[in-house]
Amino acid sequence: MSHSDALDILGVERSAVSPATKRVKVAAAPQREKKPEGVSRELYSLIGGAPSVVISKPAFKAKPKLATQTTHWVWRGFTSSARPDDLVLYHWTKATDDPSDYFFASFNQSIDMVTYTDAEYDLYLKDDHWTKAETDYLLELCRAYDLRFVVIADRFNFDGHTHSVDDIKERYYAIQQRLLRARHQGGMDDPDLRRQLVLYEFNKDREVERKSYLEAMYGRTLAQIQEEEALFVEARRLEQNEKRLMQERQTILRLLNAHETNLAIRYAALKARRSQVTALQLNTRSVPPSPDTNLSSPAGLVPSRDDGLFVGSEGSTPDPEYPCTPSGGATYKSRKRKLLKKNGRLLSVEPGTSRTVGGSPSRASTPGLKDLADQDLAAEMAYSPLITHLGTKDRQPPGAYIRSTRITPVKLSMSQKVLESLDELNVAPRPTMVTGPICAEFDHLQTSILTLLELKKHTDKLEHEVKVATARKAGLLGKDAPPPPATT
Amino acid sequence: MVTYCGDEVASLVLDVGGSWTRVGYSGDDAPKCVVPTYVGCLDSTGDETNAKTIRDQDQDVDMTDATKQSEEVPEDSSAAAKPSKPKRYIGDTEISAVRPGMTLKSPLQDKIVQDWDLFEDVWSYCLHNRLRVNPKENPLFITEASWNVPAAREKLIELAFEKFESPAFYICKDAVLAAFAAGKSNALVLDCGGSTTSAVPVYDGYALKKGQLYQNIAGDFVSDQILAQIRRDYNLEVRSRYQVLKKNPVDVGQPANAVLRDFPSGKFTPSYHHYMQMQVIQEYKESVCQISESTYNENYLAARPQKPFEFPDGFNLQVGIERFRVPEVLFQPNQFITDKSKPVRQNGQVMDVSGMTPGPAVEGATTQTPSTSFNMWGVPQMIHNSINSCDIDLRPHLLTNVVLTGGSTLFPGFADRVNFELQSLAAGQRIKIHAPGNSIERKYGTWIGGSILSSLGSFHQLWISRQEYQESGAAIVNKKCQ
Repeated sequence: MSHSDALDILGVERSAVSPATKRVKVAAAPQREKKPEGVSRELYSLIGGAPSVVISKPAFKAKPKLATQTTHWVWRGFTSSARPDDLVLYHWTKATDDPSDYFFASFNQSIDMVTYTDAEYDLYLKDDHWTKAETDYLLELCRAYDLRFVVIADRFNFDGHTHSVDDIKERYYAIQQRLLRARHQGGMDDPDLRRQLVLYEFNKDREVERKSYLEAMYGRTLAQIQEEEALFVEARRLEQNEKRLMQERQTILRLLNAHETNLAIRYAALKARRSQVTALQLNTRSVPPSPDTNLSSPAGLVPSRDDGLFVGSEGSTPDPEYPCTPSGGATYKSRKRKLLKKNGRLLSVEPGTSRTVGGSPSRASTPGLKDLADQDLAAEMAYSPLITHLGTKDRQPPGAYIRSTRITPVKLSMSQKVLESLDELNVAPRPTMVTGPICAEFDHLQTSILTLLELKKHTDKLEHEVKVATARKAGLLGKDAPPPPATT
Repeated sequence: MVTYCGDEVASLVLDVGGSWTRVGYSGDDAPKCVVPTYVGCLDSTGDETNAKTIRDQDQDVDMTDATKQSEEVPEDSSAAAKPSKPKRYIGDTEISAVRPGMTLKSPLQDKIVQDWDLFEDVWSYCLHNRLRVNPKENPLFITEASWNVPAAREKLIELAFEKFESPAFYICKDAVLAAFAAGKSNALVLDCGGSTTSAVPVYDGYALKKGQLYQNIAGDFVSDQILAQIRRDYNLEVRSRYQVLKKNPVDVGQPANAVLRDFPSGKFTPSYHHYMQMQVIQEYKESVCQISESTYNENYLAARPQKPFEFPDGFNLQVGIERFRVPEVLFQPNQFITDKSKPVRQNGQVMDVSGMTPGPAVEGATTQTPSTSFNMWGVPQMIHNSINSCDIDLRPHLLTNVVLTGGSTLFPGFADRVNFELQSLAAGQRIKIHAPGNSIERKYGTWIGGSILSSLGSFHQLWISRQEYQESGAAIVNKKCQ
């Protein structure tokens, strides 16, 4: 909506406001430059009509510092108190500078050199290797070179006679110490004196020895240094290897131990069970077996350590394929039933009774035990599916479950090898008839296979290492020994 | 002034080296002028007419000579008074000018003054003609070789006080100054210049006398080897610039096709001709020569790109392995010496090398075993021997402060090679080479050190004043300038 439209709406007469608008136009006109001929409007709108540049004049106005005076520099002669004469040299300085003494004269520091009289020399300072004149010469050099012993030794030339740095140091420090002692007024135990004497301590033999070691270090050839470095690296490698070997050995021991403890646990458990069985047998002579009412009770609830014996075996009939114990007479089946019965008894037995049961082996010399010889026990243990970590390791899941899911899963990386091993033993990859004992036995088998595989891996590795080490040894020996004559 | 400990007293620093003399004001970062340390001597027996004729005959030569005219005037008047005194010409343009019968002489040998007359002329030229100062007004700081003898030092101080009437004087060893220029007070200074290569241990601002080694296998020696090598390989004598009037382009390796200046034979002395040849070889060295960065291996180095070089008469070459082989004489002098006619001096003693085993064979040059009786030092051996002669406690400090100075260390690969060789010589030690990348700093290291030292505020107590000299005599220099 333009200005004129607004006027129309408001009903304002146009002529009434026109002078004002005209004035505005007149005022605005000079700001706008005229479009040059031959330039299109679009182009002109791009190049023209740019905002005017504000030209700011610098507002800073340097004020003359009338209050402060400029310092004059003058070419002025100076003498220095550090000089023995009054040589005048010239330099530029500020006129305001104090010309009394030369600034750098304060840097002229010299040491206080010890002096001695002839009498003192004869009394304290006599030495087989040094004459008095030579000693004087030495102290003069010490003063001239400000105790830079390396330079003193370099310049020392007393009638063609020279001394090593250590000789010179020893002499100088000995002079200092002897004069300190001789001139000291109080007793020799004065801590002040001691402190000063320590400052002039010099042991030439030790210094010479130190330098000889340094010389030896410095004189090493490149080959020697390289050999030394190689030995060092080798030593480090051995150290690290030892650590690694120890770790590996421990892993293996753990593996073996686990296997053995497993066996031991089973052995102990079996033994205990046997004794219980005998106890039961003794009891059953008089007491007829009670019905297996307890068989259906979940074995996982049994608090005894032997509870593992019956995990998952809810009174099912044993697998016919299940191998029998070699013991004559009683089959596994019959024995198991006895065990189950015993267990059923145990559940109802008081802790006090169990103690009597535990003590039973001491008096288990009855003829009924004859058939349960130790080797029989061991053989049974080897086949016994009852004690495996299948039962011991985890709790009973709630509710119903498929027994085969309780078999310990094999790591994916190992599964192929385990399958191969199972194949070798003519065992199916999964048990077809998943009864409790079978599952337990299968699980035990799998664990054994895994342990054996692990052990085999270690054995292979060690064998390989032995091979490598042997080859290296042969190589090293071959390098040192003269090269064998070419056979080809 | 306090912050940087400097205080300038407008002293003059004069460094007379084996082949170049540098002079300037203390506190400057480079010398004001650099003059060859050679003096052209012309017997006043009548060669002047010859010189005139040549000047008339060739405008170009006259131009070269023109600058001399004004400076010659005072000498002419003195010559008139003492007709027997030979004319002396000093300065780059002067000694290079075509002047029949002029012999070029160096006042120094092994950086020790041999000819005091010429030496004085060099000083006079530098101070009066180049710096144009009045030596009576400014203290004079000069450098000397580390192995300078006390007698020569006494003569130097006499010269400064008696002839030039300096108000104060100081003399310092060049190795110390080169170490100062590198900002070190402990250093092993390897100075490989034109005339001498030296290795000097510096401890706390003092040059140690026992470890200093010097040998004349340096820049000029290498130049001589190059001349001999070109003579041997191309059966050709290098023509220098003054002999050639006009050159025409020729193919690589073809004989030169140049118009030569027609000089009567025997007009120019061998020393002048040799000097002019050296100028050409100097250019050759700068543009072509290189040092192998690691062990010299001909098979490997032959694969490096060749470099072209054109001599003043137009003869040009593609320089291959020779550009490595000849400078190798600095590092393995026993194996790589080509021209055995040049005497080798070691710590001032002349060695006879003429009976040595033949020079470098094309193959297996590195496997040659040096004859036991001639054992010239390569640069790394010099450094190592010098360090080994110092106290064991000092050696690590020196090895970590090896300062390279002098123009001949500017061969590309020089510093790398020194580093490489030292690492195998001083195995297991930390080695650090200080070699400024700036060629001015490398060439004028000694002068720069002098400039720094003589502008220190705490230095001014060390000047030997005129008064001290008069009281104690010349021997004071051996007491005060250690």
